[in-house]
Amino acid sequence: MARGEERLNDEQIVAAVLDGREELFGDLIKRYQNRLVNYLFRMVRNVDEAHDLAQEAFIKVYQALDGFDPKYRFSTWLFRVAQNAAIDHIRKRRIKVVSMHRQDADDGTNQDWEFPSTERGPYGEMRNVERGEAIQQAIDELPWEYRELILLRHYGEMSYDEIAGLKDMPLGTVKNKLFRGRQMLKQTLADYLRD
Amino acid sequence: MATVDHATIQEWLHRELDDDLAGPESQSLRHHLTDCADCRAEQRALQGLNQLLTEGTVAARSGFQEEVMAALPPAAWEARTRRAWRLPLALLVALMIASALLMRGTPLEGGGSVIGIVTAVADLFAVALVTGAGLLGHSWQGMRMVFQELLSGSATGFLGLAILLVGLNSVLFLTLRRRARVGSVAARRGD
Repeated sequence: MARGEERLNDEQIVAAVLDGREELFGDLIKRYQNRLVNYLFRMVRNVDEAHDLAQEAFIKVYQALDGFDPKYRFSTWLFRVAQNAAIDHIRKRRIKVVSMHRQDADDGTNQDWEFPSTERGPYGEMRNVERGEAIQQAIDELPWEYRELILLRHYGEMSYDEIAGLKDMPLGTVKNKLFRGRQMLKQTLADYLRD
Repeated sequence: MATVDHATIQEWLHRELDDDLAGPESQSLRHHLTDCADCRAEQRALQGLNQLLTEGTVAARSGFQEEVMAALPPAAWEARTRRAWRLPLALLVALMIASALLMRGTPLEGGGSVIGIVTAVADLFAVALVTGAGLLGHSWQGMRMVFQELLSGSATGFLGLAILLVGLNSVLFLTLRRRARVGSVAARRGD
């Protein structure tokens, strides 16, 4: 990529792709792939499915790229498509919210859910697993209106503006819901925050 | 500096965590935190929570970008891009140049050589168009004759045609149904 192109924002890249430089769509994928996979992983709890859904979202967006309205953010559009795909996927497959390392009761497959080890040794590993489960359970217990914003902010790494655009919510409501969601998490995870 | 209430400080702590606090608000927060142990504890708790939530972050697998790019099916809008017209235009120009070279030195109708070349190329396209239309027309005529033969003939011919049509429709229906079931992701992977 030429140096000048590194400074292109999402909307400029979309315009360039539509102008016949399809290869630049790869830059958009590179820019969002980690955030999107991470976010989708938190929704569907399976690494492979998160990748499949991310791929599906990128493809859907590419197919409809000429319908993109540059007055909106590309990220907002991409995450909306991905979120809808994930919700649809969860609904179809009836994925149960399961704890980490637990066998899925329906299809018997293992959920790829493992936190990186931050503590060494068997005791440390046990604590990591326990903490990971507690974090996931705390997130799962949040009402959806808070959980979805926590996931978008912390795993999708979306800004307040982007979330407001995605959810079609006033900025103040986004902040308020995020703050309340975090307060709830803080209370639930108080034992781990004291460590 | 004006005193800021704790509710505002709480909001600022969250915004600071989200990199949304700057300027005078950030300075006021710093100032408040130096004097308020409760808010410092709250700040630590929020930072700790952020750290907890960050654990277990998953990144896209290596080569994912290339995988997606390879799996992108052609989009309808691609045919409307400027690049899509480049090859046909280049072929047209090449054809015109080749015609000009081949017809160089040949006496042309219409006086000027350039006008003559353009006229000749236009004639060529017109002939190609008429030929194509003729072929298409005769193909349909041929199809009509085959169908007429089958329908006007014996009952066996008619039955054979009916079975053929029902069979083809069934195959088409089953194929579309299977595709829908397999789902778009599998289809894109090329499975």
